Amino acid sequence: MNDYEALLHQAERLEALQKIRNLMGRYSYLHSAFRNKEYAELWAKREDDKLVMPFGKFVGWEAVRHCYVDLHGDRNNPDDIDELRGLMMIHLMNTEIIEVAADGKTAKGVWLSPGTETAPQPGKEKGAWCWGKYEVEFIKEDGTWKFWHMILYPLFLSPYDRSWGQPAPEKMLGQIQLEDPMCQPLDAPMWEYGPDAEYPYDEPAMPDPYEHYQGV
Amino acid sequence: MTEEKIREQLEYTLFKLEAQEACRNLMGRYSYYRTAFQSKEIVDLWAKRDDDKLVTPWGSYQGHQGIEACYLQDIGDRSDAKVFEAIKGAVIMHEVDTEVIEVAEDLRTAKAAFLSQGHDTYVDRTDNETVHAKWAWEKYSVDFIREDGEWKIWHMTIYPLFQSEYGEGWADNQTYVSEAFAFQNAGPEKTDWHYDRNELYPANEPAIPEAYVTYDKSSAE
Repeated sequence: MNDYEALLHQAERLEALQKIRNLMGRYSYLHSAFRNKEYAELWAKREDDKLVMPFGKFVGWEAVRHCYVDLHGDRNNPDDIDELRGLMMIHLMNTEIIEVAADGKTAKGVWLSPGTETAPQPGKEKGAWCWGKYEVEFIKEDGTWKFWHMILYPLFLSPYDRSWGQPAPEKMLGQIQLEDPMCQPLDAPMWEYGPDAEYPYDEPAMPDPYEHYQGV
Repeated sequence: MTEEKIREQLEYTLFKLEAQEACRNLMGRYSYYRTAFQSKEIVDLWAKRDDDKLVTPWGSYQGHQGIEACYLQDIGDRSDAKVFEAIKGAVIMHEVDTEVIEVAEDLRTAKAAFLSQGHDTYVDRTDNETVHAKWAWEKYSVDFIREDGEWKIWHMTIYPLFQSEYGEGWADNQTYVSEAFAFQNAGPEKTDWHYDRNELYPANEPAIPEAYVTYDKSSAE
């Protein structure tokens, strides 16, 4: 690689940062708008896709699609419309750290996500605060950056009028392991706040600069 | 690829990256100036064009003259003694994140979307000096344009999400803009969406920008 080619490669890695920021933004807007079919297309079509949510784990693109389109719903499915009315799920993305591999084939990123969930569900009727953290890996598929692995770590989910420092008497929808054939159990229970809880030091795992992703 | 071709591609890519940074910084400046009521500085962030447009939850403004009317007359600048007195006790803060930014292939314009968590703290001097501390979240759809070599805000639409007093749920509050504020110069077009338990969340507010070649009327719709 001569100097110009090296510079071009560096520029392409910088371009990748914006494409990845845009991917996270698109995820937020599409998911809030229940355009989950479109969102599923932003994932790499690979069997080693992995999505880890507070309610379970989904492995492979079909399982990821199932989580978002079948379990969350899509506004273009007439059968889903009634259940989507009255849902306002807003998840912002900020405080990023993004590292693109030196080989330009993969990337890792973390974000904090303040948010709100308002829904005709217990605890969310008048509005609930919903904050979490994202640990995401991206891969270039046919020249386009795609989601590859995603972990959503919950921080707190609490009705607007309840302190998030006090554990709620009952879990809300989204906090309980889901019984579904394509939803696998979590490897370990996710962290929850409690007066004796130690805040984890590696959730999310902050990416460091790296050369390449093993196996890619 | 020849060295010349690589050089061209490099220059193009770097220009685009710089444009994205410029747009990001414009929104950052907009946010900081807005909180500080540095409205003159906000006006300078806008292109000096007749087709500028600002659509807000309280009304709309057309052209650069409209932008000036909004920020310098309806909102006011802290350098004005009357405004400075009126904004005592006011902290209006709207952070900006969750971006999608697309710079046109012709490098002349850019389109973006942002989310904004925020809070409005102010004294209602029409109501016994009541202090309000409210959560106020909103969304932005923004077009940018290059003017005399600098990136400027060109069109902006502010979509309300919700606002509520700190101790109240936002699901039942349909008002986003307090009647304590008067916006004399605002036109009738506005974004007045509010949460409704019986309605579907909007599909395209803000519009999520896609990669595009050049800005034209069809891409504005």
